[in-house]
Parts: sequence; structure tokens; C-alpha cells
Amino acid sequence: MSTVLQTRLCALLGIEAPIFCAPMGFVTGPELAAAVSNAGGLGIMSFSLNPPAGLRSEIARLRSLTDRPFGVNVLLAVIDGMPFSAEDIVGVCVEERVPLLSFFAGDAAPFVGQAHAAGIKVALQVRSVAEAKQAAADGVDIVIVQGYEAGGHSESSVALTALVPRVFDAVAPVPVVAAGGIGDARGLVAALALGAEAVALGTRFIATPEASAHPLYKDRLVAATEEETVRTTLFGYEWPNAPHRVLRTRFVEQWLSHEQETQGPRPDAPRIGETQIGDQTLPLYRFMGLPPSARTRGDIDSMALYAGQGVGLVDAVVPAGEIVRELVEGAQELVERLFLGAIAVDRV
Amino acid sequence: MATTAPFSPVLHTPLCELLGIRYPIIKAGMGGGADTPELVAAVSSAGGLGLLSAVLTSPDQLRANIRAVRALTDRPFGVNVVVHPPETDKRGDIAATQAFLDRFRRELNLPLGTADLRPPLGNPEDQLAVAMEEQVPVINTMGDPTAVIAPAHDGGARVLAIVTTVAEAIEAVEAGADVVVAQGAEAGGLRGTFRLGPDGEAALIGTLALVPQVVDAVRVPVIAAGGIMDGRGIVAALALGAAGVLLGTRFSLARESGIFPGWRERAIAATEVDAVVNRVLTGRPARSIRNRLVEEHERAGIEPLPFPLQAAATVDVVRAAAQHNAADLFYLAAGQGLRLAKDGQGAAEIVAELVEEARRELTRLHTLVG
Repeated sequence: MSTVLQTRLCALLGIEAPIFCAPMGFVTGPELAAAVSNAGGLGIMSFSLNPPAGLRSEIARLRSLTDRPFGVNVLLAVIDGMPFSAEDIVGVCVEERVPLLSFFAGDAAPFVGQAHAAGIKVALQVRSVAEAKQAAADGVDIVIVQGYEAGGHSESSVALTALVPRVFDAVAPVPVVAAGGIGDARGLVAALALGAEAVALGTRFIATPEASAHPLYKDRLVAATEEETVRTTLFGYEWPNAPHRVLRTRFVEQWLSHEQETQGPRPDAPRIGETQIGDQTLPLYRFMGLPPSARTRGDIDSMALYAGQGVGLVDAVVPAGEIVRELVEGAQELVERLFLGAIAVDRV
Repeated sequence: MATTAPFSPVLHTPLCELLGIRYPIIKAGMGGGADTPELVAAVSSAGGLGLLSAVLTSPDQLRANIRAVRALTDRPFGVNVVVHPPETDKRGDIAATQAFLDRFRRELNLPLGTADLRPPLGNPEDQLAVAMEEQVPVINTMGDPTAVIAPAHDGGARVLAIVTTVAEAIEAVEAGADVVVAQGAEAGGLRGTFRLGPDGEAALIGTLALVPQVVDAVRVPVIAAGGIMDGRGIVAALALGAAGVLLGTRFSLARESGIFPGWRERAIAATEVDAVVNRVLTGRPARSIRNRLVEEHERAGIEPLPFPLQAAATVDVVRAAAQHNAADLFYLAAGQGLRLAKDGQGAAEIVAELVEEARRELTRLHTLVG
């Protein structure tokens, strides 16, 4: 593919298109991350609660699917209480020399030196100007800023049009990546105009054959409109009081006013299904935050179907590589049209 | 060739022809004293479109304001009318609300509140009638525009309908709106949501997500509103498919704006996390800078009176607060982009700067694809 939508960040990472696939637990596995990287973007695989050995084999699988740069994301907040530590997970990523190490919901500072020493770039997903400044001060290479629109876990109260220029002004020249509500070339160009050097798409990439999300979850995204998401803490079983945006399903609607009762594990929580992590089977209880993967069985519509406000732009299940190409070509056309259209009028 | 291109990009969209303006930059109608005839006229004279708020304005006063704008500019301008219907299916505790507001009345040396609340000044029918008699060329609606469109069209005006969802955009266009204004979650002031949720909640879809989805759903020009503060936001909005932009907060700090000094100081000191959605002013959701009025109402946990009775209850407090320069007790409407605003610029200077920044931004983007 042509390399015509280049930002400094593309050069920094050695990628062709300023398009990231957001790391979504149990959704952005090796297949999806590799498909996005192979198309010239950057796939960021979620560590998806894998123990160190499991993560190592997932990275190996990702490497077998692409020779392009990729990232691995570590969700720091949920590691407490697991039989391994963040250091263990980061250690695997460093040993495996993943090109980009991305962090969310926690302090990336302790890992920056170690990553840089191994030639690894570090990204941190932030939700405010203050967090962005801190990340830049900590030596993070890339700041991913999540807006109010974003699906999944996010605490930002500020939407991207207001937030991106502020973060840009606060951390320049550190590159900023915009995440939340972006679904197509228009959102990509808008984010670049606001000062971002790349975009991260989550929801749109769930509706791909390569995403390991459950087929019913993909169907629900295709059908939903922009009004059908809600920011809630409802799925708080493993990660209490952490706001997230999900589809406003009948199940969510029914329980929305009971958020206080759904935080933390409950012995009386009904079992609604099971899923697999590696070769382990995990029972799923009501209000757990694991989104349904292709390996999940049970009451899918009662699980956390994360989605951002751009969900109305998701009209079909399309291969991830096609989405990247559609965005790049669409963005080039759009910029030409905006620029030349304006000039043409000037000549009249 | 590109390096010697003699043309700089000009901001021009089909909206400009439709409204007879030079730049697709609209100044939002702003209540609370921000709007002055000078501000509205200055934006229109600079090539944008100034909208004059009719909120809490009697028909006679509105007529005087329209004539004052017209005396200052021969360019098109518009009037913003809040058409949200009274909430007749809701009840509220007038005594509790008045008791809550009395703490502020004491500080402001106002007579205490009474149970006898009258709807505040200016109903939309009368305001529209005045605007049509005065041949105002543009009517901007806040709320379901259906009842307003025929009389506005009969009077020769274009209708710019504020919407907050795709479904509302479709509804407004089916009712005959000429243009829709997609109001993103970032926007300051009153929200345009036609019908609120069961707990009084408004749709809050971010501008970046809302605009393209609205553009895909309707065939009329779409104006983007919410969080747009500079040339970056303007080019972003155009990229999303908008034919124009509507800015309130940026113009609220213009020299011609009527905001009182304490409000100006707060607006300059606050950041994006301080502009929060609440219902203390009118009973309907609106975004304003967090202050004592907002925080103490939240803490008191009193369900606001039905719209517009809550406005009838709060009007004496906010008016006195403005007179006393008491920003803590006023309603400081502002959007999430507020910290990107600059203080002390003239409105014409703002329009010129926005155009220049947008041109630069378009040129910069173009180099990325070159």
C-alpha cells in the first residue's frame, strides 16, 4: 500500500498509516492485531488476563502472523489479585522485545526505563490533561487520550473535540493518539485536525472476522445506533467502580439503577456461562466485565458488550485490513476535497 | 507547484450560499446576558452569522434588540428561540426549591421566594411572531422545531434546528428544518434534546461521534456544535461532514459580550472538567461551570421543578447575582472547550483568527497526504 498519510508518529513506530487497533480484552487477540499491522496500521494486542507463559505464546502467535510492528497492552488495574504481577507481564513483553508496550489504568512510570533500555516504545492511555502531562513527564513516548465517547473502560468526562487540542497543547511534541467514537475516515481526519497524530479504533474493529469477539456481540454492534450506549459501573464484579461504556441492552436497562449492588464479587451471583483463557475454563457470573469471546458460552446478551458512541457507523462485519485501507483512502480523498474545494472557490 | 500555490484555502461551504454569509461560522445564541446587539452584529459584519438569544426576553425587548442589531449591521443574522414545551407531566416541590434558593436570596438581599411562580418572560410563539414581523432571516430552534417551521417559512426565514441525536435530526428534517445543528456532548448551555429520559437525562453524544452519523442520516446541511474553539475544531468539523460550525463559549469571552467581570474571571480560570451538566437553572439539562449554585443544589438533592418553572424560581437569584458580580451564585454557561478560549478579543478579530487558523490547518493536513 502507498505511504501517503504519514505523521511523525508513523515514522517513530515504522508504520504506514496512523491507525491503531485499540487493545480490547478477549477481542484484540493475535489475529486482529496482526491483520491491522499487516494493513499498515498498528495492532495492539490485549494481554487478556493471560498469565506470563500464556502471553508469551500469544506474542509468538502474533509474530507468526505478521512481521510488522505491533503493540501489547497491559491493563494494570486488574493485575492486583491475580497470581502474577505487572512486573511479570511487562517482563515477558520486554524479553520478547515487543515494538510497543502500552499501559492502561495505572502508573506506567516504573516500566519506562526498562522498556526504553530494550528499545521498546511506551504508550499510556490517559483520560485527562493532567494525566497526559504526567505521562509526558514520566518519559512516555506516546499519549493515547480517550474521550467521553469511548467504549469500554474510560473515566473521561470530556469529549474529544474539547480534549484533544488541550492534550496536544499540554504535551507537545509528545505525539497524541485520539480514541473514542472514531469509526471512519471522517473521524480520522477530524482527529488529525485537532492535533492527534493517529487514532485508535475499538468498536469498529470488533466487527471484523479477525476479532475474537462472540458473533452475537458483533451482530449487536452492527445493529446499534449512537443512542444505544451508556456509561455505567454495572459490570463491576472483578473491577469495581470503574466506569465503562456498554451497549444499552435489555439486560443493562433492567439493572442500570442497581449499580451499587453489582460492585465486587458476590457469592449469590448467578452463573451465566463460561469462557476459556488459554486451556483453562473460567465460569462467568453475572456482572463480570469479560466481554463474550468466540470461546464464550452462555447468556451472551447479559454480558458486557462494550461499545463507543461511534457504534452507529458500524454497518457490517468487514475484514480489519479493509477497514484500514478504507480509512487511509477515505482520509486522502477527504483532505484533497477539503483543501482543493476550498481553493476552487477562492479562484471564483 | 504546491509550494508556489498562489491560493490559500478559503472556508466556503453550501451553507454560506443558503444563509448569505461569507464564512460558515455561527455564533450561538447565548442567554444570561452574554448576547448583546453589538456581539451579534459584529459576528455578522465579520462574515459569520450572529444569533441573538430570545431567552427571558419579552416581545417588546426582543423587538428592540433585533432593531439594535439591524442598526449595527446590514448582514444576515438570526434569533435563537427555546421551544422546549413546558413539562406538564411532572410535579415538583416548590416549597423545597424556594427554601433552597432562599439561602442565596439572603446573601443577595432579595425578598424570599414565594409559592406563586409564573412562567418566565417570553413564550416562543410571541417571540417568533416578533422575529417574523421584523423580517429576521434565520430562526434557530432549541427543542422540537415542528410547530415553528411553518410560521418561520411563511415569514421567509430559514430554520436551523438544534438536535442531539440522529433520530432528532431525521425528525427535524421531516418537519421541514432547512439546516440541523448537531449539538455534541461538549456544548455549553441548554441541551437541545427534544424528549428527556425518565430521570430528566439528555442525550450526550460527543461531537466527533455525532456529526458523521447525523450527516449520513439527513440531506440538509449540518452544522457542528460543541467543543469547537479554534481552527483545529473547525477543520475537524468540516472533515466530519459538517457544512458549518457553531461556537458559543469562544464568543462569550469576546469584548462585545455582556458577561459580567466575575463570570469572565471564572471562565478564564476553569478547565474542561469544570463544565458539567446539571439541571439547576431551568429544570432541563444544561452545561455550566461548577460553582456554589451547582454544587449546593447537587448536595441538597432536590429534584428540580418542571421546566420552565425551575427557571421562574431561579431567575431573581441569577439576575441579582449578575448585578452583584457574584459568580458563585450565577449560572456560568460554558462548554468543555472553555480553556481554549482567549479573553479580550473583539468578535471580528475572533472570526478572522478562526478563518486564518482553519486555512493554516487545512494546508498542514494537505501536506500529510501530499
